[in-house]
Amino acid sequence: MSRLTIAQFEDILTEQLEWSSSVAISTTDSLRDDLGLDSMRLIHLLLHLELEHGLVIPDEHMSALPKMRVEELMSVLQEVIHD
Amino acid sequence: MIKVHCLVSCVCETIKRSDADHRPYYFGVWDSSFSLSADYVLSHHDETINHQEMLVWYERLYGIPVEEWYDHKQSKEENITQLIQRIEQKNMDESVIVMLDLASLPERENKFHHDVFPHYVMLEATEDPEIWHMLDPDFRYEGELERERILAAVRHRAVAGGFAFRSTDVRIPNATTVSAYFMSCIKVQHPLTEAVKRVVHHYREQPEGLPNALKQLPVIAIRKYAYEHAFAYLYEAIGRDLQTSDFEEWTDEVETLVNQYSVIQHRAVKYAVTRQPEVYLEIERLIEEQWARESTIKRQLVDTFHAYQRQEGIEHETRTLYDQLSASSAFI
Repeated sequence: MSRLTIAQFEDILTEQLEWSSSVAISTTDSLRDDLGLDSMRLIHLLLHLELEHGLVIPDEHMSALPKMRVEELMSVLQEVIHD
Repeated sequence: MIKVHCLVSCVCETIKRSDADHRPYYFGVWDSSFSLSADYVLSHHDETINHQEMLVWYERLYGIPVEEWYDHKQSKEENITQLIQRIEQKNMDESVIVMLDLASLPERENKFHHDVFPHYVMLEATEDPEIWHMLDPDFRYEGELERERILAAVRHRAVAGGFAFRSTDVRIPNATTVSAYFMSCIKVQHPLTEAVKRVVHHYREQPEGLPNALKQLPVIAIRKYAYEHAFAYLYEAIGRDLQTSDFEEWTDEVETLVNQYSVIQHRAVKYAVTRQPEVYLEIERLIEEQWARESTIKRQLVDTFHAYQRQEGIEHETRTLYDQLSASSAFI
């Protein structure tokens, strides 16, 4: 995977986490407070990225994940892709 | 300051408005009670958890008796009648605490997005009888909500509990009492890590139940931040500068302790999904590391506590602690 787009990210949330929203995801949305992703859903998101896309987010980012905005997660994923 | 326990945050709110230091009251919160059910599911709360010992120490430290107004032998509606009466007749110096289901109030932040979230808050009446004022020190929330919506959250079958106290005279605890409280709190074992170990072992062959069993682990893990309050209090008490000493190294270690529970939770879900034996072995290794990490934190805390006792001239009171935990300090 060269890059994860917002649309792909939204597809993952919808298909893998049974997440739904009447409005489109914004890059400034907080994963927990705006998208309502609790710790367990975030873990399932990480596992999907790891097992299906080969994107392993380093453990040091795990505790910060709930407070991350979508754009910050995208940035971490870009670093992982480039590594 | 990081909030770690909702009931402790409620009763400490009064202390913070006084000349007394609330940080000693966080001693032991790092190992405070949680629930491990018969089917090995961890919960931050269940109806058998009793806060009485914690509240007895609140009175010993600060001179404020805390009354449990909620009567578990009475019906929910009888207790709600009692709550309404207390709120409507409350004096300025009185604090009324009630347990409610935070998830029933979607307008409030539900930090952990659990379906049910038992949580203690403080309530007051306003000039409008339909509106109550809610103070939630744990989540740094203060605001007004419809009384009926609050009562609906109190009515949830998963919650039951309430306390009240008056805060006219807050006593500044002396060193002997602070010392006795510390000694009553410190444990050689690490109950949370031990429980996680038991849960993981229980689900080894059938890991599909593991994600649910550890779902609330992050909620319980934040109680470990209580170590930071204890370090800050004891370091300052013995004249160690928080900026120039090794204080931040220890708070970093506490941070790692908290965060690694999230890593364990992640690996547990991964094991449930993949059933890879190497993931299980990694979880076991992470648990052992947590045990060692928390032992090191407790050891440093006990050494600091001994320095505090020496300074206060109460080192003769170490015997109880010595019986429990052989610290590295040469003093004992």
